[in-house]
Amino acid sequence: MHFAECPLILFTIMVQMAVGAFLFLGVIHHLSLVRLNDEIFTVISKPILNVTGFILVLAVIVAGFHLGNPINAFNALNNLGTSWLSREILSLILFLLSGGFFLLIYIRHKLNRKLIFSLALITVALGYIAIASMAMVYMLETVPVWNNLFTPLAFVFTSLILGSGAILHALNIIINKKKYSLLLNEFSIQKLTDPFKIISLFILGLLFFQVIIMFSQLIYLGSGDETLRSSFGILIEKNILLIILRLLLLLSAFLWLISLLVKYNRTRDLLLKRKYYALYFGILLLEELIGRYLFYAMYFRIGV
Amino acid sequence: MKERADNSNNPFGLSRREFLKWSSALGATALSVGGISEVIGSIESKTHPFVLADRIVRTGCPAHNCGGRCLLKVFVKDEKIIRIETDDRPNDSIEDPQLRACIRGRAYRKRQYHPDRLKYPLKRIGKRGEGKFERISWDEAYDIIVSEIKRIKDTYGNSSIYVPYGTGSYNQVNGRQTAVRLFNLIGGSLGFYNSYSWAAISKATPYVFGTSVTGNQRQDWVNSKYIIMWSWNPCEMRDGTNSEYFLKKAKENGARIICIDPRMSMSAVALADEWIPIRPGTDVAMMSAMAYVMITQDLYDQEFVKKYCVGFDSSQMPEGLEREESYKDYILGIRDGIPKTPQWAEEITTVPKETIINIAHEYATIKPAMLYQGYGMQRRAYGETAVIGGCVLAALSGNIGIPGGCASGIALQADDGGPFWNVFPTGPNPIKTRIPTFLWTEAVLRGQELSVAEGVVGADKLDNNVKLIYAVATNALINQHANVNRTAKILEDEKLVEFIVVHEQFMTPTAKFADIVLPVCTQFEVWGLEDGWKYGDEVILMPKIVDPPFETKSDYQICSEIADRFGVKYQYTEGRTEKDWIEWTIEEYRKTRFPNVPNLKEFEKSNKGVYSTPITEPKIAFRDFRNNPQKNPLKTPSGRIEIFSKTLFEMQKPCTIPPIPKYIQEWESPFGEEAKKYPLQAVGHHYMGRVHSTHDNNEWTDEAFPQRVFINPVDALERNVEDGDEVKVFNDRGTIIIKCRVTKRILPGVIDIPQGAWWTPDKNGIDRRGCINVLTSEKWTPLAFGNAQHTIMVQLEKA
Amino acid sequence: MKKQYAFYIDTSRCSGCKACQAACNDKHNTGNGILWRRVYEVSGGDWIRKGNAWLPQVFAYNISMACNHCEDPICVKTCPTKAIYQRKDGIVLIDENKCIGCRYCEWSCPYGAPQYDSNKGVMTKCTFCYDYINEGKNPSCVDACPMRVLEFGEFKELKKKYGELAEVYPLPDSSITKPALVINPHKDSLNKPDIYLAISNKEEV
Ligand code: SF4
Ligand code: SF4
Ligand code: SF4
Repeated sequence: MHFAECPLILFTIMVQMAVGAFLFLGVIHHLSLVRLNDEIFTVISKPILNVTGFILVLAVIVAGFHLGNPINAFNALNNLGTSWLSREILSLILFLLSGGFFLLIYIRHKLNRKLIFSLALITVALGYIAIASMAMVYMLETVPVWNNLFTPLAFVFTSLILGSGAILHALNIIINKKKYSLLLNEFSIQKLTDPFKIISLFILGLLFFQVIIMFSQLIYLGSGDETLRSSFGILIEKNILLIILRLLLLLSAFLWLISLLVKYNRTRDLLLKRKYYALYFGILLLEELIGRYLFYAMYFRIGV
Repeated sequence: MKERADNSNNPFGLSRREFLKWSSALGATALSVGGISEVIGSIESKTHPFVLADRIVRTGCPAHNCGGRCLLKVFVKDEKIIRIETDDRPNDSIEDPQLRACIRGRAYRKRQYHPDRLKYPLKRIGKRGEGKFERISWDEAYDIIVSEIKRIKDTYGNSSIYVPYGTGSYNQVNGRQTAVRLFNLIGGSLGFYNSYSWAAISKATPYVFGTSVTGNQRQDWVNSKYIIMWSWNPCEMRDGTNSEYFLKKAKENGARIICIDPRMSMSAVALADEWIPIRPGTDVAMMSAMAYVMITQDLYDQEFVKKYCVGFDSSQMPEGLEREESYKDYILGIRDGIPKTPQWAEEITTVPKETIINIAHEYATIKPAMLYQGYGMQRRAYGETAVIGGCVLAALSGNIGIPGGCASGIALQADDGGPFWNVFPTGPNPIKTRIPTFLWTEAVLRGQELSVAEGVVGADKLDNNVKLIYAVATNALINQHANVNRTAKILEDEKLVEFIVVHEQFMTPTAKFADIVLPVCTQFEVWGLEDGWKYGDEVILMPKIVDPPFETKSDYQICSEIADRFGVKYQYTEGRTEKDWIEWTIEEYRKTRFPNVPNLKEFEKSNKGVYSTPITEPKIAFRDFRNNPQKNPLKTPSGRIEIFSKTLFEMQKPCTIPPIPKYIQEWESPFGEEAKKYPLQAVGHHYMGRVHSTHDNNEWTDEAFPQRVFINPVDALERNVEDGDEVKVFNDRGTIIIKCRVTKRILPGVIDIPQGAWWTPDKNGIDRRGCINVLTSEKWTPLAFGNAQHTIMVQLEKA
Repeated sequence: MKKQYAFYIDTSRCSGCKACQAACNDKHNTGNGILWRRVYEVSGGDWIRKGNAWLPQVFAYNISMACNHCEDPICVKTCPTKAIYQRKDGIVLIDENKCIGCRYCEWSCPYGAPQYDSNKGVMTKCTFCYDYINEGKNPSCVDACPMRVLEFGEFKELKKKYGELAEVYPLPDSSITKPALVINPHKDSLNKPDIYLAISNKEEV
């Protein structure tokens, strides 16, 4: 991997996580089971939305570091006709605009819910369009190792795993912060912790699939044509330790989550234990960072 | 042809007429996509603007000692060279091909404008060899030099002064010849003969043929149907500009080309149908086995051998030596009981016997065939025998004196006496004594003991040790001489050599050992003239293109200024400037090789750079001899081709100088005891990125051809070494640590450290740049007293 | 009729001497990591031990590669800024004033043509020496080759003269970008299915 690609690791992960977090925030709000009332939701959403926005801005700045000549950055939209990179940037801008607009309206919070809801929907949709075009950027005919379903899968999974993980982590922080908990009564906290279970179960599934994807990708590369095998070679020869580490991380996140779930069935105030979630989120973040590093490391273009 | 850019529509300084001429001459490729002005306005010219040269000068590529002499087209703007292109004469034909420069010429700007160019005279302030110097004025430098020369002359005599071998400049007025002329005017200096390049081959060839002119002119190569490149890598060393091109043409003409070399060289890749790796130093074994096949299967040209040779079998032995071992006796093992069968050779050479049989068959039956020898195989322990072995094979196959054939050996071209390299006159040397150049350290250490037995000529023995070294255009004082660590010790001792002057352009390892370093201008900065190295059918004018920077001067100017201080300025200059000498030089060429060469004025005005004579009827060596050996006998004692040399026989050293070419195990060999400790053979081939040690600091050539040691995966695996690893290569003489390249393109058991990298010892004395001479031995060849630097054993491990 | 210039490379006789690379460096002041023309050494094969003998089954050849000014250039398609563009005569150029240095073309071009200039922070690339072409001259690299294995001309003409081959191992399937390239293959690049060949001078290109 090229040193110049470090910013890309951060950039893609941050954007995908932010999109996922936004999605899960909405899910929590709208899951019919645990529907929160607006007030509570506003209390918890604002900081989360702010942080998400901040991460996105950071991502854009980080992306700038990837450019050799950022002064010209505005040129990046010149080639919407054929370049997926242009399209990615456009969809990202649209996502940011729509997100920003949403935030603006949401803070004023006087407008009707329907509008907010549809704006949120649009933002999520734009977010995933951005992720899709991001995937398309890498799906180059000349880079077979990226030019397959594993690329979009990887991106979407990052977004779901880290997005949900981030939301759990955020909820945990919020509930523990005096400033917020004062605003929330016992009942709301209870209500807030309810989605935990559902999300956790969902994540468990994701993590499980992530492992399956990892293995099937290895098999796909190892049994593919020469260029794919070259990538396989890079992974196995140079990065096998990282692959194992990633697996271990996935596994520990998985077990950690299960143990949390089991405990949660007994003591329902689990969300109050801060370090549990910090660790959990940390593990996932590391796992995804490694995954993305490997994604770039296995780059192998056909030709010379 | 006037080439000045006089309007902006004419960015390349070509007059309209010339532009049309040159472009229409390009014929089918003359394409035009619109007016120049249209392009100038477009975006691309904003990012890559046209270069508007003030003038374009055609000149020769600065003459160092590669095998080529090429034409450069130099673009100058604001008195700076901004671009270097090559020969663009419109008709590129086999008779008069373009002299296209290689990477070294094309990358010359990086040397010309290197930040490390020496700028001022320097005086040593540290210990000798330490590399600490201070800037002094020219006057001070001259004062020191003159007083030291006088002192040493008076104390020891002129024969203690030595102007060592140096091949950095061959443009007449730069180079060691300028210093030789100086000393010849003030009492002379110890002379030398031989070279580091081809000591053995130039010495041995005449024992067989009575001459060194054993090759047909290169245009004839296309007539050959079978070509063996034996240890010959013309693509990379550029053994003559265009040699590789002539071979390509031969290939196109249907020739089958074989390359015998421990390395799958560039030439093997580009030209050969088959590559036969051979264990270094065992060439004679393979040659003998080929002869065995040719003899036992009656494939050799019996008529030719009978008519033109002596010493082949007992019926042909010289008078009085009828009972000595003939070549055939040796091959069949009549005396020693060892028939030189392909099986026997396989064990020595690693070449499978089937391959040997096959090559022998082909060489004997495909006619005409050309066995061409390179020089790597003769820079070895018994290099002479390998040379003679090749010549004998050529004789057995009868490929001598015919188009498409080659007598092998040094193969200077059948021609009219050239090339001359430097014709700048050194004048007669009052000191008649000469040493073999490779033995100069012996002359330093024990000069007075050195006698005829060790190659001294012109006297029975030396009357002095070398006390003053005046080194011009050379890096052979340290870097290119064998056993660097030994030489360094010798030179460090100020009681041995008392004074060392070095003329240089860079702070080379040699310059580091100087007491005084004088900064020299490059060949772009002074007038010069060169001719076509080994084959040269041309002379190339080298006008002064830019001014010498800082305080640099030409070697000629420096020597003339010293001559002035000895009161012999006029004798030295004869009133001539450098340019006047070039005029004089051209007249010399007119008198000999090129009667129609234009005079300097016309030559300069034409800005053609080169004067060449198209070769339509290539000369064939030994044609007359072949037509009538009685009327045109060779200059050998017998007048014929001496497969058995009586002269060599009379030296009475059958174990090292056999009268017929015999395989002799080298003094450092995989078959010897030394192989237990040092199991790998190391060769140092001529690297594309360098001319010997010149250009080692050129960033463009270094990027293209980084220094490293090449090793086969078989050996690498044993040593747990991977491609790109830092490795340590060592033997009793020294240690190098550099990166390695694991490549299948080299025979297992052999490593290659391209020669010429600048010795860069760290504080532990370990060379970090990869100068192979850290490992080589100062031992010389028996007959020629030449260098045997390739005969070494080493070990390699992961650093 | 649309013009398309092209290179012909006779890989069978290329020695890998890199005079072409240096010529390009010199003309465009590149080098030091920026190689508009590079020479790839492809080698592979095996050594077979037979008693005391070594039987080499070693294969090697060189591919001198610049930009192929493809008819269907993937770089032009992927560049987000349109800094890379294709002229009417098929020459593909980079407008360094527009380039943002995202190196996306570097990722996509299967010939390694776009070369990053880290000082300027932009991509650079072989210009086909369009200035020389304009003057009716050959590109600098073409006239540099001591082996005379490089040629320049109209694609159609070159194809007529030398055939249509535009791929040898490890060059990609030519249908991807339609390179303006005609190749004469080296004997070692032909039909050697069992030989493991690879670019062996990665540190140089
Ligand atoms: S100059 Fe010619 S022979 Fe040398 S590397 Fe380039 S294409 Fe090959
Ligand atoms: S070779 Fe690469 S850079 Fe050149 S036109 Fe084709 S795709 Fe573009
Ligand atoms: S055509 Fe010009 S720019 Fe392109 S590789 Fe050749 S010399 Fe360089």
